[in-house]
Amino acid sequence: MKQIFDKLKNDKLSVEELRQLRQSVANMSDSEISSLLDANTFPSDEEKYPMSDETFLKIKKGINLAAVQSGRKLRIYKVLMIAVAAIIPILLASCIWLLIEVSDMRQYGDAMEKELAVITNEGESAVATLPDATEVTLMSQSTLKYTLKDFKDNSREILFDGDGVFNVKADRESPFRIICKNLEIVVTGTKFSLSARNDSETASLYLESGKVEIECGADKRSIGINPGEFARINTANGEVEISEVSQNSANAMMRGDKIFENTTLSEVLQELERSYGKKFEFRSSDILNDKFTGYLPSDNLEEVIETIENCYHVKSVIEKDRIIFM
Amino acid sequence: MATSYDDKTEQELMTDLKAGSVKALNAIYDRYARRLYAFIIPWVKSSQDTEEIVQDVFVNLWKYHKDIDPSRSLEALLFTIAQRYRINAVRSLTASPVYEDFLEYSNKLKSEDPDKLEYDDFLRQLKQAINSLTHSQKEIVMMSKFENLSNGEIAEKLGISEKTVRNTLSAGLKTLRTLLSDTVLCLLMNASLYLISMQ
Repeated sequence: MKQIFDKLKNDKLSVEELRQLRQSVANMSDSEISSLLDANTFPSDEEKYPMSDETFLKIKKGINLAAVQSGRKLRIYKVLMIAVAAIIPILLASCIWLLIEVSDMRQYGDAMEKELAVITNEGESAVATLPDATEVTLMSQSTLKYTLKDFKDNSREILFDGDGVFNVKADRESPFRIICKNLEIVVTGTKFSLSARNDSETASLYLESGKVEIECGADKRSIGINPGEFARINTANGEVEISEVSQNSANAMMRGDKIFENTTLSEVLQELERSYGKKFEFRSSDILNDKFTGYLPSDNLEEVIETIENCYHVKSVIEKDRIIFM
Repeated sequence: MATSYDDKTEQELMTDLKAGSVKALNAIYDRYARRLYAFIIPWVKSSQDTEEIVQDVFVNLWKYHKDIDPSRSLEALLFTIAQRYRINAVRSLTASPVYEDFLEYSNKLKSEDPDKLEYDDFLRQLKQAINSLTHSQKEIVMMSKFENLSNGEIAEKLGISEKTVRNTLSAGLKTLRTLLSDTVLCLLMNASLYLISMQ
């Protein structure tokens, strides 16, 4: 075998011998081959197989290039690692900050969409201050709704059902729109009292100051109201009746009282029932046809009872759900 | 301690190399490059391949210089690495169709001591001849001769029938034989003339 390897070394094998050797080598272990190689390695080889100077230098150059590059690569790697290590906490902090901001923003977004409502029950009243500083005094059983989104730079909008006194902040550029079931009121800056109930065909408005446009009816035509005028609106046919009222009445309306002018007592009592959610009854039913003129508060039951007692010289019996006058 | 690198002991060189001295690397190269070259080339045959191996040995020496144990022999280290390459070379050489072809051609001329350069030349001429084959012949001949793939393996790799491989291969080799016998004889003639003139 040693001789075969010698032939291999010197390219002296025949093709047939090579083929045979191929088989043998496939069955040999590395150490066997190693021994055979060493047996055929001589110091004289260095002379026999010289390396040209050109090749010598060429390889040397290649080695140095690789050495420098690996050094460079290492340095770059180190710098990169430091940079990454520095950036990661910054990135993390930014991400967290962003997440917080985004969730805030989302809340903000949600807040814009959310419908805010002020609702009063029977016998209650409340003052709602809107984002533009407009004040609305809601009398009993009234609802005011709005979203922040509706209070933009160029428009303000609310939904309203009930009785209220409005003190709208003046903003010429931003019309204030009150949307009721069958009626819309547009103002820029005014004080007025409004009664517009979803379940009532009649709405009324008294204007103290400023200017008001009432949009009503199928054709949505608008009617302007001037200060001191009282408008009674038939929402079914869009008819608006404008009249003047006494200062006392005006004051009463701006207080939020219910104004009655020659109204039958039964109607008054109905109105009271609505405001207070309690039945108002008279022992003697004849009196119900009486005409009543005056104002009654819609948020002060005691005062109402007292006024009626004084007016009709009756005494009241207060039960859970009703008040009986006798 | 010697100041010039030429006088440094092996141990000193190893220590410096471990510490990261490129100068030490170069000094080691200067001392061992030619010996390693002569150690490897009789078994690898191709001078290009041998040059690559020698370069690899030193590049890896540098790559893992931090792991060097200066108490061990540098010579042993280098030649152990080189031996690994030698063993692999024997295995692939004995299995190589190209080497088989080379022997076939080389034996035609009974020359005393064929120049090692001959193998390189043979290889170069072979590659040149292969280049003049048709595209599919070239591809199949390369796969058969240089990658040492069987006809079946070639057929599978290229997605064609084994019969096609066989036919293409035989046609290609036929052409090669014609091309090569002219050039090889020429080469061999040149080699022997050169040798004669040397004597």
